[in-house]
Order: sequence, then C-alpha cells, then structure tokens
Amino acid sequence: MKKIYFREEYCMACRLCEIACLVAHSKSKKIIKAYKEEFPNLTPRLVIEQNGPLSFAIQCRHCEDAPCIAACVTGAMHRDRKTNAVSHNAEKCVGCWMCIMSCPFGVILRDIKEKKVATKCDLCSDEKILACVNACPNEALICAESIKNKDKKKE
Amino acid sequence: MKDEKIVIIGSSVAAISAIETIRSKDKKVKITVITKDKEISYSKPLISYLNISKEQFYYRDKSFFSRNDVKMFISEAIRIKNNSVILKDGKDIEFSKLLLAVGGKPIVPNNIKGICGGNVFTLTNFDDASKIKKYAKNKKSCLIIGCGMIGIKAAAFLKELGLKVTIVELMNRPFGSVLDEVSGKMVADEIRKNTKLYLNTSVTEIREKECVISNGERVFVDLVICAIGVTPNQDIAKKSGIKADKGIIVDSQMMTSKKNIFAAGDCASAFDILKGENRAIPIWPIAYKQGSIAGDNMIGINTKYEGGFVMNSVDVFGLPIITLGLSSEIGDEEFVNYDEKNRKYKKYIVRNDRIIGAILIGDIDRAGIITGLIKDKVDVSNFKNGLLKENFGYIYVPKKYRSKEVIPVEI
Repeated sequence: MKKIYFREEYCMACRLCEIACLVAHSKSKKIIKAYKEEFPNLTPRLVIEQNGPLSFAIQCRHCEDAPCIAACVTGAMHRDRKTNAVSHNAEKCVGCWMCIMSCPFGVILRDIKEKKVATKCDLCSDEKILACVNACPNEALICAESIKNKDKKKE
Repeated sequence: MKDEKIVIIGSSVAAISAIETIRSKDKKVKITVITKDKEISYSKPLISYLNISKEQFYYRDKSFFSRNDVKMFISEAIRIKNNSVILKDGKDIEFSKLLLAVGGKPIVPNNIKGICGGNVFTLTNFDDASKIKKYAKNKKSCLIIGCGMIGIKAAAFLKELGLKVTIVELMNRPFGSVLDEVSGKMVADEIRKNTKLYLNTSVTEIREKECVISNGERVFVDLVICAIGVTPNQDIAKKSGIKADKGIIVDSQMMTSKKNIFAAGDCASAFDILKGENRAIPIWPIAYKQGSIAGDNMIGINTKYEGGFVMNSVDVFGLPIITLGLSSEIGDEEFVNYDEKNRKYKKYIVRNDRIIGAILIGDIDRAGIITGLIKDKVDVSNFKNGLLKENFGYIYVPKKYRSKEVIPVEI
C-alpha cells in the first residue's frame, strides 16, 4: 500500500501540514470556521518534531505488524480489510491508552477534549487527497510505496 | 495440511488471535475451541467498565467463531491423553495440534479466616463481574484486598456501583511491583481522594459484616474483593505431564515440552527480553502476539517469538499511568522529572546505555517511543540527555535504529 513518508532534508517545520490536517478533520472543512469555531477541540493526526536544525512531520505508519492492533483491548484499532490501513473505530475505544503505550513512533494521540478516545492518521479516508502531502510546499511529505515492499520484490 | 485438526482450549485474546492468524492463511483447516466461558468474544479487561455500550464490550463481534468456521464446545477440558482432550462430561476431542490458551487464575490466599465466605469475590471474568453487580445491589460498602491493576479497577467499578470503597494493600505503596517510592506515594495520594486506602496492612479475618485488619481495626463492609493478582493456569498442563513452573514453559515457537502442544497468553511462561529468561507476563499485547505466533506454527509456518517484557497502562481515577519494563529496579543512571504541582512524573531507568524501564504519570503521550527503544535495545548514550526534554520524540532515535516503516522507495 502507499503511505505518507517524510523527507527531513526538505522539511522546514512550516507547520502547513498540521493546519491542513486539522482542517481536513474538522466538521466544516473550512479553515476559518475550523479555527474560529472548533479549534481547541481539534487534534491534528500528525506530529511535527524539531531538534536543532532537523525537523519532520510523522503520522501513523500503518505498520504491517502493528503493535497498536495487538495492544488494543476493545478491537477499536483494526486492519481495514479493503485498504490494508490501520484503522481506528472511535465508537469502540474506551481510552485505555494501550495503543499509546505500544506505538513506537508515538503517533497515536489522545483526543481528550471531545471524548476520551485515541486518534490517529486515517489517510484522509473522507477525502480523495492526502491533506498534509498536498499542503507541503517542499515535498517534504510524499506519498510513496514502502521500501519493505521493494525489498520483497527483490527477494 | 488439510488433515490437521487444531484444537484450542480457551476463547480469550490468545485464542482469538491464533484463529485470526490461521484463518488469514488457511481457510480450510479444522479448528475446534473448548471453552468454559458461556459469554464469548468479549474483552476481559472491560468487565469492570460500567458505562460502555454492548458493542464496546465485545472484542470481536458475537459471530466471530461461527464466521471463522470454528466448532465450539462449551465445556471444561480436564486432561490431555495421547492426542485427545478429555472434557468434563467425558467426551474426548482428538487433535493433531493443540493450543493451551487457558489464561490465569485469581490468587486467593488461604491464610485469611473467612476468605471462602459468600461475601468474598474475585474479578477476572464476565461471570465474576455479573455476580458482583448482583450482590452489590442495595449494599453500602466494600473492601478490596490488593492495590494493583485488578484492585484499582475493582475500586473504580464498585465506586461507580455506589459503594464506599476501602483498599487494603500489603506493600508500602500501590502497584508495588511497578512503581517506585516517589510515584507510589503520588498515586496513593490520588487514590485517597477517592477511596480509603490502608498501606502496609493485610486482612486477618473476614466476617459477614466486617473485616479485621492487621492493625487491629475493624472495618464495616458488605462485601470483599480479593484482587491480589493472577497466576498462570497450569492445571491441565500439570495433569498431563507438560512442563510447567510458574507458567506453562514454551520455546520460541510457543511449543510446550510436548510436541504438537502449544501454549500462549497468561498461562504461558515465555522469553522475557529484559530478564533474559522465561517467565509469565500476563498482559494483553503479549497474549495477542503469542497467540498469533502459535497460530502460525500450528499450520506449519515457522515463526519465532522474539520475547516480550512487562508493560501496563492504567487509569487511576482519571490519572493516567504507564509503566514499562523493569520500572521499579535501579539502573546505572536514572532520568527523573517530578512535577508535584501538576501531578506529573517521568522516570527512565538506563542500564548499560539501554533503557530498561520507565514510569510515566500524568503525561503519557508518546510513551510508545520508549517502548520501542526498550524493545530494540537501542543504545541511548548519544541522546539520553534529551529523554526528558519537551521536544523528545522519534527525531531523537538515531537513523540506524529507525524502522523500515518510515523509509519510502527512493524517488
């Protein structure tokens, strides 16, 4: 499957991806409305990291062997049979944070403002385009195949 | 492969995970499940949650077993003889591969007078929770023995049912095996805002309407919950000559001392990567992983279990706590941040430049990054001083340790 990847050498930490992500996951999907009416209650589905001159945005890796699915006690975190993405069903989630404890990338976040549930990148399941990739002015976020799949083909 | 007859004893997460793994690769092989549980495919950790929907309560939907073409026997497995499982009702079920996913049993001490009384309960399965709910109606107060994971869940459960709760703990702090002194005190203070808590105390006698505790006090209670912990259920293994010592001993394929018989989940004693030896770790993610590995090996796909380590995520009356690895041990170095005012605590224990344990209280966000560093035994010597920084994240993980999941095909 295709996923979102960061290329830290191109990232400037402009945070446009974060804004695009927030808007894409808002009710109105409009930037001014989203910020004026919903903002503190919106959680972005990606994390922007900075350390000295380095920066990148990271979101769910939709791991092949996903530790969050193994750790989820409710079955909320699951593999989407159609897309193969790691999907989260907020209706089932009880907010036990086992997924947060397990994700080695730290990209499952607490959505404590609206409901006590976990939240993560859903590859913009409502939309046709990936909001963060689309918003990145520097192609620091790209949509690509995994290197793991390339390795497999070689084998 | 078509002639294999897979039999699984147990129906919780290890069993479900094994079935899912098998069925993702083999739709035809015969699978039979033997379980004591009348209520199936529910999630055991959720039995103490009162305000969740029916949908949330089920780990997999009710049709899970029939949908996966699994034959069910609601009965108790007593013994394994040759290649058959003998059930309580005398039936025997033949297998070519067997998985023991029989879970754990609550520990009930036998040195407390009155522990066998009708007012004493344990809380590890659906039946227990239903019995407590029924018994607690119109009752006023309860006492919980043990302030660990089950004890604290039981406390929240009974408090929500409207009872006055008293917790009695033998050690000098709650979660004694995973918290240190400082965090233990912090959590104890938090618990005391919600229930009565006695530390360094035990129960000496349970009577119909009261408990006598070791300091001589008498506590008026209607019911008692014994929440000391669980121990691996190794009854059937021992009766059948399968090697067991504080858990059914398995190798890296989850195979027991008998060929064709596997074990997974709370009943199994498998490799602990931090201790460097086999031991039972009764936690959900490990049961899931082990079930899946056993599933693979039972259908002839050679898969190895890399080992696991203890980790826990628990909510103490709204205060989130995550502990990882050998969190109460002492390392070569410790990185601690204690914010008393905001009820936050972070501690990373480093030994030989590897993180071996961590405690996170209050702010548990991104804890999994630490889990990853422990699991992969990442050398943290170059960035250990960043562990407590506000911006700590995956960016600190050295490139050579980064997962392939973050590397795209060259473009």
